[in-house]
Amino acid sequence: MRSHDDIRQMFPDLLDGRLAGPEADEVKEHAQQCAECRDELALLTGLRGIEVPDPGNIFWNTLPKKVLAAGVRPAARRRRIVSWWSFLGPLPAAAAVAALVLLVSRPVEKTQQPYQEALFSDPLAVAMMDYSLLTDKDIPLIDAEIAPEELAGVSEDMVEEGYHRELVSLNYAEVELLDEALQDEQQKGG
Amino acid sequence: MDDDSRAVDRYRAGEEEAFEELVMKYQRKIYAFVYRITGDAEESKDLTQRTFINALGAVRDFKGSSLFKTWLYQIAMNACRNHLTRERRNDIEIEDSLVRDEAGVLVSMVEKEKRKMVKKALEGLPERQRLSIILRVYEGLSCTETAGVMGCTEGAVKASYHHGVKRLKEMLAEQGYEIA
Repeated sequence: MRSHDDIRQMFPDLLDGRLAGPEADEVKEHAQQCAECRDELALLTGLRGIEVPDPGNIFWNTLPKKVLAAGVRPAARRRRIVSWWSFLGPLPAAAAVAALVLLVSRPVEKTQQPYQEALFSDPLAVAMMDYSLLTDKDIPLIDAEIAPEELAGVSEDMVEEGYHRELVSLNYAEVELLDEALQDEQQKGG
Repeated sequence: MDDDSRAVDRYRAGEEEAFEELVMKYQRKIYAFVYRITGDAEESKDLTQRTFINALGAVRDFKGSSLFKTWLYQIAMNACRNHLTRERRNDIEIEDSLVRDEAGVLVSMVEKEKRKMVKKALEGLPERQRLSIILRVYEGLSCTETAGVMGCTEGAVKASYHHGVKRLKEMLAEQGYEIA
């Protein structure tokens, strides 16, 4: 014979259909005789009635792929990039900033066609980038305006493809907002 | 070894589809769990995705000392906690999705009102009490599994659950909710 408190702890199992036979009978019988337990069982039944909105099939069908796309890259690939990055020695942050500057501020048309292709097909291939495009004017600007922790962030973004992960993880509403923002800034496609 | 552990091993061996299977198996449960904590459908989508991305990032270190399901709920709970802390959402009244439910379900206004009251009361509980009720009542986790997710003892789960239900009854009684 179970105690009142033990029986109460079994209500979730009863509601979930995980209790059967004599155990289920014992709990139901107790609930019939005990007003407190009867109320509690009714309350728990009411709790289970709260609906969860369905985000829709598009969400369910795309989530597994989005997770894998946004998740960590295989260890081997990560090691290769990290070792390449460390080859640069003390310059990774500067290299990342240089790449960023090339991407956002320098006209791409100044470069040769193979470089352009590489830039768009694999932006992480920073080895392809022509750092000679940086002028003396660019470098002091970077040094003066970007804090060391931000430089580290840029480096991480480049190495870990944080930018791509971020894009992939956007939901529909966020993509709409981004699109609007880009249009406002006349940067769409830039 | 259960199916989930086998899928984890397959993923570790290089079979990416194995993790996809796990996502498909648990995505609805995790979404519902997250929604019951946050009460926000859009945030729940993002947090569900974040949960699985975090799980994917850590799955190589998954020791198997607990069930994969328990481990996943733990990650989801932490994602929710971080989110709520960051957004300071605890004090914000949560919009009731039932109001904008377009599914056309013929639920009477009285029933809707009652559900809203229950939902609000649940959201008003302290975090541990709310979590123990959500995990036990909605997610169907045992006391042992709930303790695993919450990182406490079974006794603490029982106490949180007991006090949570008691407090819920009091709150609903104050609002004139008829339980039976």
